[in-house]
Amino acid sequence: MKITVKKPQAYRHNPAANNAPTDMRRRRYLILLAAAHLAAISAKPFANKAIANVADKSNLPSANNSQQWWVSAQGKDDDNYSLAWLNQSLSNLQKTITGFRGHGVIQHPKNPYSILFIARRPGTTGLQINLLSGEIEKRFECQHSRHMEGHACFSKDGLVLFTSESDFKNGVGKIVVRDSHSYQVLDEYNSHGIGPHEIKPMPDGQTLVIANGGLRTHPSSGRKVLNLDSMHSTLTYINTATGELIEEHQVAHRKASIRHLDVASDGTVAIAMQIQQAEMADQNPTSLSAIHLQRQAIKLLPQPSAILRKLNDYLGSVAINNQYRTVGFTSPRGNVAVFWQMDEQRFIGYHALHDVCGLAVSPDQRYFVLSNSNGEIRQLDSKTLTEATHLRCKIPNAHWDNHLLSVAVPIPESKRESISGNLS
Amino acid sequence: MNSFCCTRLTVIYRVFIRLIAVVFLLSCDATRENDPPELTESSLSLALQQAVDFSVIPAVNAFQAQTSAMQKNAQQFCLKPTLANLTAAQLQWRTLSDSWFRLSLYRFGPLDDDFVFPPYTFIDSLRLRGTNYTNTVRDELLSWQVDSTALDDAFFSRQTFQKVGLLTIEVALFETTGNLSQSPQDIVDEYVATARKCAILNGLATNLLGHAQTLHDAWHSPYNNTTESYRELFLANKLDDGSEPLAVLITSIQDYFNYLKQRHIVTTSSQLSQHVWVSVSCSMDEVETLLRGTKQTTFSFFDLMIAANYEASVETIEANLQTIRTSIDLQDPVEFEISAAQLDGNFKREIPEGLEVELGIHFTDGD
Repeated sequence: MKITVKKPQAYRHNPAANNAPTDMRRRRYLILLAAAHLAAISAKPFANKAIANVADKSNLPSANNSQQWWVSAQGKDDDNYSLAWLNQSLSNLQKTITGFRGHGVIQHPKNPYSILFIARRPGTTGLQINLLSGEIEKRFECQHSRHMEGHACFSKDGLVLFTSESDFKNGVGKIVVRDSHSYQVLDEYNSHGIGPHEIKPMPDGQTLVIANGGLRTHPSSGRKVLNLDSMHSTLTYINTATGELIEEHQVAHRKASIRHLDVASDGTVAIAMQIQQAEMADQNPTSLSAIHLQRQAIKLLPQPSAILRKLNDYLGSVAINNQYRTVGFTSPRGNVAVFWQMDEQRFIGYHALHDVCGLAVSPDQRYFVLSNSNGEIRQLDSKTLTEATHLRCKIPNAHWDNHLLSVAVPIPESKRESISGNLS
Repeated sequence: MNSFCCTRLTVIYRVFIRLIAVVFLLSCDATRENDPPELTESSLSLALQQAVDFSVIPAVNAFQAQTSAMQKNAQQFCLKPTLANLTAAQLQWRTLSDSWFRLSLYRFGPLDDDFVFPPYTFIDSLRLRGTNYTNTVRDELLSWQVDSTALDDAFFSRQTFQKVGLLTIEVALFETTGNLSQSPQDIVDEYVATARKCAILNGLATNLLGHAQTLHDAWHSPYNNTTESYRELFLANKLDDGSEPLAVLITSIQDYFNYLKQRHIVTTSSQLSQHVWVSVSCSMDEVETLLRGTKQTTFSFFDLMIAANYEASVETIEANLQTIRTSIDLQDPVEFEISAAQLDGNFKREIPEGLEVELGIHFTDGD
């Protein structure tokens, strides 16, 4: 495995971002950051209890003043693509029609009721949707000759949004930096790879980890991969302030596309891959799940060969449980979720579910939550991996998309009744 | 007057009751076999039931029968290892392969009810990922032939899926273990000279029959600690994981075409017997029968699609079936895989759409 480690350097201007002079652009960036900070301070009282991000759960509301909600892109056709969400009673599905298929969803760090819904490749739109009102609060588009890659994340301080995008004219992966309030573009970095997909902030708050899938596409040919023969997938770490490449890693298997990742509280990164089977010279299955620690090589997770074959070369989601140091992956093509103990890199179990792809850890870390395209949700005890069958549910006519987000939504005492009323 | 009124009221009451009964009967959604095709829940249920009874279960039964015949042929050959008996055993293997290619479309339920060790892999190791285990089998046959382990049922039951099933029987019947000669006389001579080879052949055939029998029993007798057969569970929509039976059936066939396309089957499977083109042709017979129905069928899937105004889709699928037939006739692997890809698409889009069924195939490369 190739490891390239680069020391972080000072702020580096990225001329591809726009044509404004560096100082002016930097000044505008700082002004916007300050404005966003002020906006955050003046937000609603309960917004102070917002979840900062997956990487920082210190602001999680306590169990007795919050409710768990499950949020996901949903739908099977243009008329029904939507953001959909369920409360912890697993009833009262609500949705907002979006008009396009979404992929990743994230919670806004400054307002826990606001969810960001990112278009699936080669879509170009991001939406901010309010879970209480169902209204689309904000909408933003990619710049010219860019398309979304389906994922985004907020900086640890919540002031900026990073979106994974592609410059499809030049076949270059981009991380676009936006103001988290206005979604105005502040800067743009190279992802140091092709087809950046899932991105997450590292616990240090200064580093972004990027899964560069290595697959080049162009909107004119839809989702067709144009570089299967030469594909090159990498895991890169960049400095969030400068875009400078800190580390770059790859796995030995050249046709393994690193697509999804999650970051543990100690900085361990779990990665989920997909094999481009059409380009493989043999039919031998290869490991699709791995973990990574900075400045080390990627470690493929060992598993029984029967399980590996079952995954059918495709993992769709990954989620880490920080309490038990376990990690789960889903394989919709294998109809299974698989789990490892991270520190021992030990395979600990699986759960079969048709077309399962969505995977999240409940905010209280008690459950791994699975969703599938048939509208089902299942919850597995994080410690034992046994299913809490009494929590099983199926939402008629719902089709959960790739990723499920579990969020803790604070409910002020005075608002509990009205929220419940809104949901019914 | 009163009497008249009473009589009249009684008559009106009777007529009213009869009218209610007629309305009630007409409003029932139960589809009868002589009703014209119409895409309703009950007509779809009837079509599914007929597909199971006239296609799936006959395929299960035929595979069990052909496996049983294979075991008898193996015994006969071993009792009297002659060229004629070898030819008969090889012929039976080919017939068995054909019956498997018909059945392997239905890779669900009892064929795939063990998550870690799916039963179908012990019948056809290639079906898992298209990995050709011929060399593994050759090594294993040689090792079994020379060592002294008892070649009983327990021995074959503990073998991994790569070492048993159709492929191992094919290798045992179509070439010698010593120098891989495919000359029938050399094969007969090796069986005559090596007593263990017969024990191996018989053991493999018995092992395969065990799998075929289990499968057969599952479709006909109480299954998986229930009081109902898999047929009954399937048709009553009582599958373990809550899956819709029609979606399971369609997905299984879609997956079969994906397998044909992705794993280069016509250049990998049944190479020693040189029989793969005939076998894939049998698969296409099965697909056509499933979609068009048999003589006994009253509501075929195609009938229902046409009734639901999806005639154009039916024509597209028929054209693609014709194209794959041509590629089989010409033994053209490239065209065959292209046609298989088209039919894979038909089972993902046109057929589910035409029958208004959700397959739950949602996630594609790069998602």
